[in-house]
Amino acid sequence: MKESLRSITEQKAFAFCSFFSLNLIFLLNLSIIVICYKNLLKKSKRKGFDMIITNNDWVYEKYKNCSNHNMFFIEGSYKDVLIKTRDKIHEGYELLTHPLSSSLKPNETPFKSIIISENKDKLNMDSLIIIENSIMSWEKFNNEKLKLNFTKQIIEDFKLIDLTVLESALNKK
Amino acid sequence: MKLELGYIYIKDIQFAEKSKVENGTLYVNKEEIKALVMEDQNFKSVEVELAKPGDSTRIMPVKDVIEPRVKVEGPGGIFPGMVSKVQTVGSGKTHVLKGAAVITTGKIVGFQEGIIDMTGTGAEYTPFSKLNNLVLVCQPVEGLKQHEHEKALRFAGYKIAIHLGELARTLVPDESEVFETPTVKEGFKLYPELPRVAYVLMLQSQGLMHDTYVYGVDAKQSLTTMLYPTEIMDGAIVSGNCVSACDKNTTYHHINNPVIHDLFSEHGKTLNFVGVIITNENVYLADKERSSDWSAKLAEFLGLDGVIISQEGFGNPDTDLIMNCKKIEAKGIKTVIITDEYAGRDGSSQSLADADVSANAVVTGGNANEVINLPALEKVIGYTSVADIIAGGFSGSLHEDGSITAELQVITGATNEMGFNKLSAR
Amino acid sequence: MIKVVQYINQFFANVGGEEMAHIPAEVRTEIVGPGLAFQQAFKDEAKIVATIVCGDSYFNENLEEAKKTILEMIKEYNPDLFIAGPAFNAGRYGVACATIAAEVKEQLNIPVLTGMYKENPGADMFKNKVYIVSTKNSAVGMKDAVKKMAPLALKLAKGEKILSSAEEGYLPNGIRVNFFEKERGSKRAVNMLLSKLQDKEFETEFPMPDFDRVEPNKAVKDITKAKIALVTSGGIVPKGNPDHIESSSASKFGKYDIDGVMDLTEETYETAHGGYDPVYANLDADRVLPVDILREFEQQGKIGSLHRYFYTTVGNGTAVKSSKAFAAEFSKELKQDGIDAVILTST
Repeated sequence: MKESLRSITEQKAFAFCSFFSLNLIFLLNLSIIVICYKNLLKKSKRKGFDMIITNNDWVYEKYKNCSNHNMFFIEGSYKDVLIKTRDKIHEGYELLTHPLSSSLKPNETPFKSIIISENKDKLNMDSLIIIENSIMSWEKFNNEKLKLNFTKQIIEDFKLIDLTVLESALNKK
Repeated sequence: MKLELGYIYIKDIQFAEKSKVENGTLYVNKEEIKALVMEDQNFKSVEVELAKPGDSTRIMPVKDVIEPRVKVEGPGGIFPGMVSKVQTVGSGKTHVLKGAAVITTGKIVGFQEGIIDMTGTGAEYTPFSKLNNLVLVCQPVEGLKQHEHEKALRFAGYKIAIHLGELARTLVPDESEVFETPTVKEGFKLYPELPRVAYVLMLQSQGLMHDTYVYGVDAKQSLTTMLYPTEIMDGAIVSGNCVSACDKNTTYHHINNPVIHDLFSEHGKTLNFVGVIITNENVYLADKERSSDWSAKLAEFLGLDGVIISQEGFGNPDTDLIMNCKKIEAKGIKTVIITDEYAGRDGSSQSLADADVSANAVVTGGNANEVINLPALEKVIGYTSVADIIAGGFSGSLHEDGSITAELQVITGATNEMGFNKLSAR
Repeated sequence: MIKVVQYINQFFANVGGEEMAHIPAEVRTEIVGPGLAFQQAFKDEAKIVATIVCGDSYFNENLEEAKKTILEMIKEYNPDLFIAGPAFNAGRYGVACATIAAEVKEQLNIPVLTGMYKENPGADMFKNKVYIVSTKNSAVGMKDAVKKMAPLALKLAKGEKILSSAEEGYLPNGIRVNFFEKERGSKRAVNMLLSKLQDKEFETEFPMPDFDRVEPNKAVKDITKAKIALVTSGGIVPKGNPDHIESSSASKFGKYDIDGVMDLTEETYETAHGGYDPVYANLDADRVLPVDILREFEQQGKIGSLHRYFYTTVGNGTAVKSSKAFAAEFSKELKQDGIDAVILTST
């Protein structure tokens, strides 16, 4: 229902070149009063359409075909994910999850997934402060190089934790 | 709500034919414990070991530490909603095997958390080196998924703790302590002049190995809410958090919450301990905003003058901590926050991931990045080879002679953010 | 036997007060001033072999030369340890102590120690570079200062491990060191909250990083009608510095009348500031306090008017607390006089 009404209103709005709300729509067999789809043509945050930035292929595999989430996969490090997120925030996207998720330190786990908003707006100061603090934290921890030899099993465990923490965040919505 | 805790002091633990508590010694029938654990078919086998204060024993990796208690009078049972039924606890009488603990270990994931040394340098940094511990080393069946393994291990710990707690049911406590929290109305009448203080307890809630349960409810799913302090003394809050060793709150920490005890010491004298506000630490930023908005709202609603806020974990919880602090201060309510620090190996880096000028009263559990040397010990319960991967460990940290060089991070409870320990930093 | 060289100022050497602050550095081989108390505390573990006495004004106004000369003096004695002060709350003395201590540490590579009150500007400037023991805010605290400084000095000289700031008594220097308190954290938290609730003084275990953000005011609506005042921390004063505003660690501000003054000249104005080369400011004080330009703007109608009074002080090494106090006071007058905006110049 929602989909069809929306296409009708979009066509009408297009025809009239108007940004303002349509107040009433009568469908042929049913009288349906649709109240105030305000500012239909203006970009609005559509719930559920966010973007996952990740370097974890398990996350990519799980959500790549999901219509609710856009995916930005990075072939790179934890830091690369943070930097990409920061770049997006500079463009005006909003941070939806905290980059330092899970108590695993930035010099332990190689994997990171972060969710940002689908649409951009003015620069969100809070998002900027958080991502910059997160990058500082990454740098602080990676000051001392840990030479860790991870087995395949351990790599998978890190992927798992990153995935489950992300899932927990997404399942709540 | 009024609760009387009866302490039965345990000074020794031994294996014996019959499980019982006699003259301060906890006697445990090993086979009985094994059989109980093996009731869960997720386990292939289990080993039960003892670790006493002063033993040259190292336990690693540690998942949880649980104190045996039993409800002898009053509604409900220990660990409501998890093991016992959901009925509200916190009143009546509860017996405690003080000086004993159940420790669970297990290789759930490759990076292992938590070392407890019963002697030497490491012993100074964990409160569990002073307890008489029953250690469960459980092997999962082949192919058991990590989250199922975690759950099975978690419940095994509670089950054994409750089983041991039962041994105290009919005993006469060596010492008793009574804790009473009046209702809001009674409190105003009893202590009209005293400042109204509450404890804002932040709970880790981020997913597998990062969870906390309140009456069996995943803290992730909960809105900020309130508890009577004594409910926590009956195990209303339990830990599913295994990361990271130094600043995660074990179930033992929850049930013995030191802020609650120290606030009770002053209750009726210098302050009115109104109650406990529990809030979570979700990854979703909107959740952080909502939870901290609610902490501040409830604090104001209760007419508080001051709060103590404690956090759990590393990184994003610093944001929740600062949000809670800022918003509560903005209501004109004074705050003291308890945290730990990651100031780098040389202590010169920025300790917290977030900061605010209103957080002007901070208690710290110490710098978790400090490097320490743990001597080789005679016995290791658990798995040694994982020292390299333990949080804070690094390549070469397990030396040939069995000693370990690692950051304080690896020791269970070392920089606890409830203020359990005396460790601090300046 | 640990050889110690000490640095003190003209006051503690009993040479004189403010009027003798200009004396250059000199060496004394006999025990002088606080040296007596230190020597007693050192017992026979260390010996003060020489004391450098230097006037605070001399040091602060001839920084490079003073450092060089004093360093040469110290080198002669080949000491194992250098201590300066304690300076308590004397700003210029504190800056001098910390500066020379840092210089000795860097050039001679020997352990150094100084002491002063936490609000002394020298503390903020150097606490991350040299150990500074926290003292009371006046010479009344000498006994207490020596009690803390002497043992720490010996430790430094012997190369022993230095514990946390809370244990050793030095000002937190940005390096976090773990140690065990007497009470557990939760108890410390409860005590801290009780102090906070009772409006008593308490000390946080972790000072939050200093942000010190000032919210900007709204923009002036119509600058052509605005009454503008000039305020400076660049030390511009009428020639002769009639109120004797100090060249550093200023203890006062001045209020001067420029009614009818269209331009500041070499004959009528000068700078009292000791922290920058004064030549160009003395030649034309407008360079720091732009009276001439504002008078032009006044005539051209670009601003409403220039206020007849300007306020001045010297920002060099002046305590933040003092600066805030000055501003709080003269801002009241500015408001009463109907000022719309202030142009604040520094250096």
